[in-house]
Amino acid sequence: MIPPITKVPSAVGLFRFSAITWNPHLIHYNRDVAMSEGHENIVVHSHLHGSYLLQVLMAWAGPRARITKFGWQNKRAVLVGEQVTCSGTVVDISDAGTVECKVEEHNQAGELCANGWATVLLPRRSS
Amino acid sequence: MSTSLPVDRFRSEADALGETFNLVKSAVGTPFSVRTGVIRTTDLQRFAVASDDYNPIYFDDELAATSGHDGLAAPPLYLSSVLGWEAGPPECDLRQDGIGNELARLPIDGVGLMGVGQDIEFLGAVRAGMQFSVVSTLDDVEIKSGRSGMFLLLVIAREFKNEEGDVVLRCRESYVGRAYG
Repeated sequence: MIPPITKVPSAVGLFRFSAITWNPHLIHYNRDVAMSEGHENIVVHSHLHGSYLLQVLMAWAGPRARITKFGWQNKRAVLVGEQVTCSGTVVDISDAGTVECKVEEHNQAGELCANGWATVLLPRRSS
Repeated sequence: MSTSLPVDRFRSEADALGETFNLVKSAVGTPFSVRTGVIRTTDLQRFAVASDDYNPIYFDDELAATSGHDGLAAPPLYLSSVLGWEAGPPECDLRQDGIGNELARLPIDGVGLMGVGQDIEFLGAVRAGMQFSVVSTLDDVEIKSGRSGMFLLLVIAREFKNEEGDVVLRCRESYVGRAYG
């Protein structure tokens, strides 16, 4: 079991994420536009789900580990102010020191919002 | 899963999506190239901060060095999360939803897009001071039908190369596109 982390995306956080990724889509920072597209509030970016899932892996693997492959799929929209919990499990360990992991992001209702997979290269014990 | 859309709505969505589908389909396989410009430490750290990610390997030179990084590390998702590397069009040329021409210049007018995930291979170092060439290619586009109606599924492949020509990152990203009502 990979220790979980929780996140509560804020409006200013989502705006900053839009800015640094040069993502002008209004649903991420304008509630009226988000609602006109069928959402109840401004919407967390696809890539921020990915970032949250990677963070749970990197916090567990430590600063010497390297992520060599990573993928995720968004399953359900997360809105500003909603708490999500990201957790993971190790599914395979190779002799070469690579670890295959699965990660998931759930909202407070326990609904799956995103899931992902990764290959993590862990440092040798002697290094 | 079967759908129970009213016939008139189904036809309207199909017409709108069909027109965009035909335009987008013609762009499959056409590469779009851009350069990132020099990546700054501040860019990488702002991405980390905006992601609520305070991993010290992005902020602490000493810890990054003792962890085997050659300089401050870059958040792995930075390169593949940035939608646009150019200045972008003037505001008057943005669509009603704010989108400009970020998505490999694809002809997607009339369709609202949402990213649904990526598959990434991390193949080389990414650090502040580096710059990269990016080639984006629309790999595939399909029309699909789901519980909430018809939609386009686009898959865009991107490859980032450093100044030596080495591939540092490959990414396949999927987008869902729905017709604006």
